[in-house]
Amino acid sequence: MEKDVAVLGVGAHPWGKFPGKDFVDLAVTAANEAFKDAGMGWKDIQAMVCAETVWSGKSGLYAGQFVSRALGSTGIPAVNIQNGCASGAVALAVAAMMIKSGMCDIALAIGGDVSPEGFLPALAGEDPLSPDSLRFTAIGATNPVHWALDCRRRMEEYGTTETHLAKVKVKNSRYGSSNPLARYRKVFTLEEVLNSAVVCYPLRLYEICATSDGGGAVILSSMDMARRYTSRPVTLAAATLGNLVYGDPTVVIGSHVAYKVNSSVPMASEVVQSSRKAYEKAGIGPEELDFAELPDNSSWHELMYMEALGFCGPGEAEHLLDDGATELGGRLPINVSGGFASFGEAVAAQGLLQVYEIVRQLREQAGPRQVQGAKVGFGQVYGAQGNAGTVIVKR
Amino acid sequence: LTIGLVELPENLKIMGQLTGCKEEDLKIGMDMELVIEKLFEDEEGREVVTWKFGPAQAGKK
Repeated sequence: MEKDVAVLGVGAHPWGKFPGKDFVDLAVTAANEAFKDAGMGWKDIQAMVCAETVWSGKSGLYAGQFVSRALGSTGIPAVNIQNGCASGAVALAVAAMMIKSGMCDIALAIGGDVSPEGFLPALAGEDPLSPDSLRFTAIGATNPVHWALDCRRRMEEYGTTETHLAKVKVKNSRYGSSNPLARYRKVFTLEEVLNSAVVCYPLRLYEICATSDGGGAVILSSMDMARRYTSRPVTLAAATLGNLVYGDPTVVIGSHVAYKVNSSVPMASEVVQSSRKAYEKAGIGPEELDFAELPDNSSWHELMYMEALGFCGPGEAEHLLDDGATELGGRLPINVSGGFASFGEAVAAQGLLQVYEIVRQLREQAGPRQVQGAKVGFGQVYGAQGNAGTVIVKR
Repeated sequence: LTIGLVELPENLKIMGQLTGCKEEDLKIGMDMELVIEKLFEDEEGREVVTWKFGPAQAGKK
């Protein structure tokens, strides 16, 4: 029988642009918030798993060593994780494994990131053999191009309209407006979104997440240890991982410019993999979730992921959106944190930010964004090259 | 700049720039063909070419 794992504390540095602060500063702030939240200190942490940042040079690849040194070199293990935009969730999953295995009783999953301005560039630089450079040099395909291609097909197949895409942003901006951690607090109207510049048709400026700086930290512990700190610990019901399946029809960022499609493989297969494992592990199906945090890198993502995650059938996401089912008070509120639409992405930290929101919701600490009576929260992130992490937390 | 995804009969999808066609005339499902075209000139004035796709010419598929 696997040991249960508790989420003892969560912390975050606000999302935005903070000239003069590096990823270590952001991670340390998040860690200190998490220590305060859990009622413990850095010296109580027995192991840490740190999401790497690729935007901070080689020091970003040793993020765990930099962050642990800044917190104080206590000698605990510090593992570095690189899974692109899914890194935060992967760090959490590895920290959970450390506790389940008995390696330690208290572990910290952490990540801080300082993103470049504008489009995220190729990681391989000018390497002509890397498909991640090829797509920039030979095609001019920035990340949103990939999303726009799949979104155009969705419009053709399911009748998704530009208004649907704008509605996602309007909904998420309403929640982001009351989230003190969010970078963008403005409540957008449909007209404002629909009149914003086209970045890559059909996706507009306000429908694509910005590149932000931010930090997140989550403290996990064994249940026995958790009871020393709180009488009502929340439980990490699942933290599962997935990877791309051969034949996936999705236009995946960074892995290839030409690829084989197999009609029996679903879109976002990496997310299908991780989420189905999470439902099984938690013994909780998508119909039992009280709210979900999805990676809305663009408005299209939120709609597509609702289906990939089994929240609804193919082509039904727009109906749920139109019916208000994904709003606060609806059947399954989505991105009540404000989502990436209000935060922007901070690659190494966003998976942990989702857990922050989920835990605050489960403890009824979300203020005007509170999902009433929330008992089960869900988080999903995906990373470049096709990898994914799913988190389910329950009260 | 127009970028598209072209599907080959063998279920292979290739991303590439689209050429020889106005954006509003493009339709999902239309027949396309391979075009080799200039991408840019390098510092020594040499043409660097790339793969692109344009609408298939009549009588040819």
